[in-house]
Amino acid sequence: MLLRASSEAIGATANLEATVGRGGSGGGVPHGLELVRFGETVSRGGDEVATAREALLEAVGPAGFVEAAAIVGIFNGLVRTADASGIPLDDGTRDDSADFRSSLGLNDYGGSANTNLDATGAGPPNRDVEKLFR
Amino acid sequence: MILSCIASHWGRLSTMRRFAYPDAPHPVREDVVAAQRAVWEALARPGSRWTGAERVALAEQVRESRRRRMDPPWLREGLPDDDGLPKAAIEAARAIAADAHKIDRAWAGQKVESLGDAGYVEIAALAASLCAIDTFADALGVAYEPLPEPFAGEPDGERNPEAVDAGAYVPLHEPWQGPNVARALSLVPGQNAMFFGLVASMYGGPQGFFELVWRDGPLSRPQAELLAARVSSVNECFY
Repeated sequence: MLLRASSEAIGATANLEATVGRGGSGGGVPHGLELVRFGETVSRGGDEVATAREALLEAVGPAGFVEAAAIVGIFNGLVRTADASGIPLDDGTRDDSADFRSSLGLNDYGGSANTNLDATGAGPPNRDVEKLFR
Repeated sequence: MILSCIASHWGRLSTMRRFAYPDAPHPVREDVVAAQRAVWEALARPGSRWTGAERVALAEQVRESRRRRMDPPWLREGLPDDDGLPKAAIEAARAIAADAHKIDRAWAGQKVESLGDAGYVEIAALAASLCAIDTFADALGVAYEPLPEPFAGEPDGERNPEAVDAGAYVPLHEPWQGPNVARALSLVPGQNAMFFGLVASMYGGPQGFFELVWRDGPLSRPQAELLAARVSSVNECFY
């Protein structure tokens, strides 16, 4: 959701298919393919990490690489807090993500059982980060 | 008393030398290093339900289980001994580390019944914090920081009296201001603060969660969010 909102904030359009590994693309984000491969391989582990690491370092430079490493790290923690606690989506996130959750297949993940997806509202898209998560 | 003070001081000095990342291709931000050191300090101390020694033993379970996350559960050989921990605690630590996306209400309910809701949340906070820090090391291609030596002392029994049933597996603080996910572990505020201190530094740091346009950092916000969304998807996390 923040990918779409932050892309629109700079006048760009992100292809959300990249977030679920479809199409072999980087979602229209600069160096997106390298970022996607980096996130995938580090999260899964295995021999391909070294190649993905080198490719990202080359693409975004050392400072961007370390920042990307931090993002991969903390989101591997955040997913565990969400899944272990079973926290439901807040109403704003639920409503604003309804379209792409369905098209990307996110509603098929086990954690979807914790949110009442039938209660989706029909308000206008929200692009205020503070309101997105209330 | 004097020995306890010396041990505490030595532990703090020892923590200050950790997370230096000399082999990273670029210096790691100081706020990230400080947050990771704070987790190591907290990890070694008694929590709400678990002693320092139990917390470090749980951390070892988390670290080794996450290393084997891509193996089927029946092939995850060589995991650490139980160290006297309850079976349910070991199962919780291992599952959150390696199979969090498979956790459902029935399974979590069994663990909560056995460990207490605060005991379960404390394990979740430990596991999330350690997984974040170890994954960061994997991403950089550097060795894991050795786990800390535990401090003596007894758990304080912390449990948030303002946490209520909000539809999650465990009670959540209500009402809540801020990002919803930041209250996932709010049943035990000290443990929630430990993990979300890491989040504040590692997720964009000074550029700010609430800014849709990051102007000064090495990555743009869409680059960070693409990466974050792909990581969530690879982990099959609905949230």
